[in-house]
Amino acid sequence: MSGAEFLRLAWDWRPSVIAGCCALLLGYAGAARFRFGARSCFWAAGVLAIFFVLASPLDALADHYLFSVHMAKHILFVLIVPALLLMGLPAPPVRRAVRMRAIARIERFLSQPVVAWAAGVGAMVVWHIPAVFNRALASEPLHIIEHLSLLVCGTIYWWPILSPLPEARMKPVPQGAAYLFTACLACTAIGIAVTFAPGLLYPAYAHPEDIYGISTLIRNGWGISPHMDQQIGGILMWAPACLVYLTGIMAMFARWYSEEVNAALEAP
Amino acid sequence: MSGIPTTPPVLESGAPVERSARLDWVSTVDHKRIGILYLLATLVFFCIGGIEALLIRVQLAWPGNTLLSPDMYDQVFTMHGTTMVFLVVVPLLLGLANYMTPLMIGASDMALPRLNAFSFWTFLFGGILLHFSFIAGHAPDAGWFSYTPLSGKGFSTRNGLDYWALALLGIGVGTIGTAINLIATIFNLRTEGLTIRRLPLFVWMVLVNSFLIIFALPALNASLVMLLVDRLLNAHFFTQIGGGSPVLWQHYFWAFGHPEVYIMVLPAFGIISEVIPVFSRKPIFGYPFVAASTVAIGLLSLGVWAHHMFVVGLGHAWEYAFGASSLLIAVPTGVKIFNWIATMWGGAIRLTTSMLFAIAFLFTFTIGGLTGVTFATVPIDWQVTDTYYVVAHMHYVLFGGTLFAVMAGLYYWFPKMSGRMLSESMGKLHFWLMFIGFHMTFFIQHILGLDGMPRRVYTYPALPGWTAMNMISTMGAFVIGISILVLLANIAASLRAGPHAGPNPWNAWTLEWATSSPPAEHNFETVPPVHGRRPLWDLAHGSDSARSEPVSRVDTMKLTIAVFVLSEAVFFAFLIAAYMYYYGATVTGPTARNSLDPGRTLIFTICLLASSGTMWLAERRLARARHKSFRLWLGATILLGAVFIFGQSLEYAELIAKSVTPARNLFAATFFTLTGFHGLHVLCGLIALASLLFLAFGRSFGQKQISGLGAISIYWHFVDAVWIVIFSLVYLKVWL
Repeated sequence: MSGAEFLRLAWDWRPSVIAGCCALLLGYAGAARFRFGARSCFWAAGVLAIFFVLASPLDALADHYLFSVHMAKHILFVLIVPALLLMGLPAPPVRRAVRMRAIARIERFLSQPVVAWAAGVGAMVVWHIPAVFNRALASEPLHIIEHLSLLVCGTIYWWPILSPLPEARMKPVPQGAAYLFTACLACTAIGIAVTFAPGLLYPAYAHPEDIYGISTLIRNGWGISPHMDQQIGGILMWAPACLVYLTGIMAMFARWYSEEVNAALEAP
Repeated sequence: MSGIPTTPPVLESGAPVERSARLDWVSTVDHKRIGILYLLATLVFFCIGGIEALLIRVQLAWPGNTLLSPDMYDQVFTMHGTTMVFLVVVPLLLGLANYMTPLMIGASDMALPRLNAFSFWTFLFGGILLHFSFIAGHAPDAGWFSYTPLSGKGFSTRNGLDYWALALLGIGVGTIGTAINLIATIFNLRTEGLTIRRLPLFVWMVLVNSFLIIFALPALNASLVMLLVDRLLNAHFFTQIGGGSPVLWQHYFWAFGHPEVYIMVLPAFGIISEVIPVFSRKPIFGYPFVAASTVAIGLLSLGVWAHHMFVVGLGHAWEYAFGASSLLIAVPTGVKIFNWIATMWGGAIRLTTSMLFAIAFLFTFTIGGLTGVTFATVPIDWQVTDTYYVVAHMHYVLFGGTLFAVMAGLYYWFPKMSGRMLSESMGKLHFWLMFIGFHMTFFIQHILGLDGMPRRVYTYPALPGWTAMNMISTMGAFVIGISILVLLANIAASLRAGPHAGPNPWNAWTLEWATSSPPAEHNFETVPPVHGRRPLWDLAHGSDSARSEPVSRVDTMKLTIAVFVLSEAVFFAFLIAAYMYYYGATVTGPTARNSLDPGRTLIFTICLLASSGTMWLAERRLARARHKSFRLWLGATILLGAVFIFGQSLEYAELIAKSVTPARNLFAATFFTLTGFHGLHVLCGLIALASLLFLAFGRSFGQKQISGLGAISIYWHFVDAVWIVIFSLVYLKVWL
C-alpha cells in the first residue's frame, strides 16, 4: 500500500466513535440551550480532534506501527483535547452543576492544585511505564480505559487553569505559571528517559503486525527505524508538550497583566 | 561595619585614602561598594581578556605567523573565552544588578548583604585561581567548553584543566549566591506600591535571569564535578574507556551553556529597556510584552541546548526538534526588538552616548540574532559550525549585543554611581571607535567562516583573500582596543574633574534617580510614593492613578533557602541522571548487585528519615517555647544524622578495602559521586544543626535563630528527600 492509499483507506468509521462525538456535540448544544458563541468553536474543535485521533489513519499508525504517533495521540488526549473542551465550556451550565452539593464536593477536591497536577502528570507517567503501556496495547478494553483516563485526567489537570468559572481558577502568577512549568519539567524528565533509553522499551512496535501492508513503506520509504521511532516519541513527549505548557504560561502572564489593566480601569 | 554613613571615596579620590578606608572596601557589605568591586574586577579581567584577544588577532594577522606557538595559542583562546564569559560578561551584569537593583526598588541594601560579599569574593577567588594556572605552569587549553575527551586526563596531562574546573566551580557558587540574593531582594525589599507588575524592566529581567541562573548553573557544577572526578580520581565518565560517553559532557555542558547565553543577554535587554524609553521621552511600548517575552525566552532557553550538537550525529529526530525549538526562541526575542523600535517611534530622541550604544545594540544584536537563526537550520549548521562564522555570530551577540548594552548602561548610570558626568564628546569618540572597530573585526569573519576558515586553529594557509580579510579583522581589533583606552581616559577625567551630575541628570523616572548621586550609604532619605511604573514622572506631572497597591512579601529566610534547595535539586538531578544513564553500561567489575548491602543501608536510611521526624518535633517544641525539649530533639536529629554518616563511612571503607574505587568502573564512579555528594550535604546540614544547638544552649535564642532554624530544617528535609530517591535507585533496585 502506498502512502496516499493508506491515508485514503485507513479511516475507521467505528459507530462508537461517531456516536460518542455526536453525543458530545448534542450534549453541548443542549447545555448551552442552543445559544452559540465564539466559545462553541473551541468545543467543536475539541470534538473534531477526538474524532480525528480515533478515526483517522493516525489511529491505525498509532495502534499498529509507530510508537511516536501513539505518543502524539496521547499528547492530544491529555493536553490538547481537554483544553479545547474546557475553553469551549460556557459558564452558566457549569455553575448550575456546581450548585449540586455532591458535584461541588468532587469539584472542590479535584481542583486542588496538588491533586489536579498529580492527575495530569500521573496519567502521563503511569501510562508510559513500558509494562503498563505494552499491556494496554495488547488488550482493547485496557486501551479504551487508557484513553478515557487520559481525557479525564487531562480535564482535571486543566480545570484550575481553564475552568469556565473564574473563581475556580488559580492565581495566574506565580501559582498558575509554576503549576504549568513543573508539569513541563515532569514531562521533560520522562521524555528524556524515553529518548535516551538504549534499548527498545515498547517491543510491540519493533515487529508490527502488518495489517495495512505499509511496514516496508515506513521502514524504508519514510526511513523510520524502531529506535528512531522511540526517540521521536520521547522528544514529542517533551518538546511539543512543553510548548503547550509554555503557551499556557504565556497566557497566564497575559491574564495577569490584563488583571492590572482592568483594576486600573475600575479604580476611581 | 560601623553604623556611621561614609561618603563613597570616589568623591575624594584626590585626597590620600586612609588605610581604614581601604580596609572598609574589603570588609564592606554595602551593595553599592560590592557592585563597584564587581565592576572594577571585571574591568581588570576585561583588560586581560582583551589583551588575549589582541594576541589572537596578531597571531592571525598574516598566514604562518609564529608569534604564538600552537600550544600557547590554545591556552590564549581558551583563556580569552573563559575570561570573557565567566569573569567579564556575567559578573559585569551581576555587578550592575547589584548596584542598581536595590536603588531601583527603593531598598537600602540587598536582602542578604553578607551573602553578597561572600558571592563577590568567591567569584574573585575563582578568577584569580583561573589565572594562577599561568604561573602554575600551564593554562587550560581545551576551549571554553572543554569538550571531552580532549579535556580528560588522557589528552590534557598538565593541570590547567583542573584549575579551569575548580575556578569555574567557585565562580558558579558565587553566581548562584548572587542570584538567590537578587531574588530575595526583589521579592521582599520593594518599597510600598512597587508591585511586581510595576517593576522597572531591568529589575524584572534581573529577576527572571536569576531564576535562569538557579536552573542552569547547577548543571555546570554537576558536569565540572564529574570532570574533576575523571581527572583527579581517574574515573571514566567522559572517556570511552569502560563505557563512558564524551557526548554526555556535551549534553551536560550545553544544558548549562545555552541558558548561559541568555543569562548573558537578559540583563542587557533590561538595560536597553531602561535606556531607550528615557532617551526617547516615552514610556516603553508594550510593557507586558517585553516582560512576558523575557519569561518565554528564559523557559525556551532551557530546551534548545542540542543545537550546539548538530554535528555529533544524534539522529534526525533530535535535529528536527532542536532546530524547531531554536527557531522558536527567535520569536520572543523579535517581539522585544519591535517593542524597542516602537518605543523610539515618534519619540523625542536624545542621541546621548548611552542612546547611541543602545541603538547600536539594536542594530548589531539583530544581525547576531539572524545569524543565530541560520544555525538553527540544521544543514547550514553542518556547513558552518566550528568556522569563523560561529565566532562572528557569538561576538555579534555577546560583544555587539551585551557589551554595547552594558556600555549604554555605563554611560547612563555612571553619573549615579560617581556623582559626575562622563564627557559626551569623548563618549562619542569612544562609541564610534568601538562601533566601527567592532564591525571591522567581526563582520568580515562571517565571510571567512563561509569560506571555510576553521576556528581555534593557530594559523591558516594563504588562500585568496584570507590574508587581507584577517588583516582587516586584526586592525579592527586594535581600533576596539583604542576605544577602550578612550573609555578609561573618559572615566579617569570624569572622576578627577567631571561636572557634577546632580540626582537626576537625564530626567529619568525610575527610583534610583530620586536620591543623591552617588547615593548615601543608606540609599534614600525618603523614597517617593509609587503609584505606577514611572514614579518620578508621576511625581512631576501628577499621577493619573492615585491607587496604592499592597506589596506582597514572603519570609526572606524561607524564600532564600527554598531557592537554594531548588538549585541543589537541579544539581542532584544531573548526578542522578548520570547514574541512570550509566546504569546499564557497566559490564565488568563491581555493580550495585555484587558490592552493595541494601539491608544494612536500609537501617541507616531509617535513621536519616527518622531525623526528619525529630527535626519536625524540635521545631514544634520551639514554637511552643519548650526549650529543653527542643534541645533534646535537636540533639536527637544530630545524632541520627551522625549515625547515617557513620554508616556511609563504614560502607565506603569496606568498598575501598575491596578496591572498589571511582577508577574501577562506571558503577563505582557514579555511585561514589552521587552518594558522596549527598553525604557531603548531610555533613553540611549537621554542622549547621550543631551550630544551632550550640546557640540554643546560650541565652539569646531569639527570633533570628528561630527563623534560621526554619531555613535549616527545610534544607534538612530536602537532603532526606534526595536520599529517598538515591536509595530507591541505587539500593532498592538491587532487590527488585
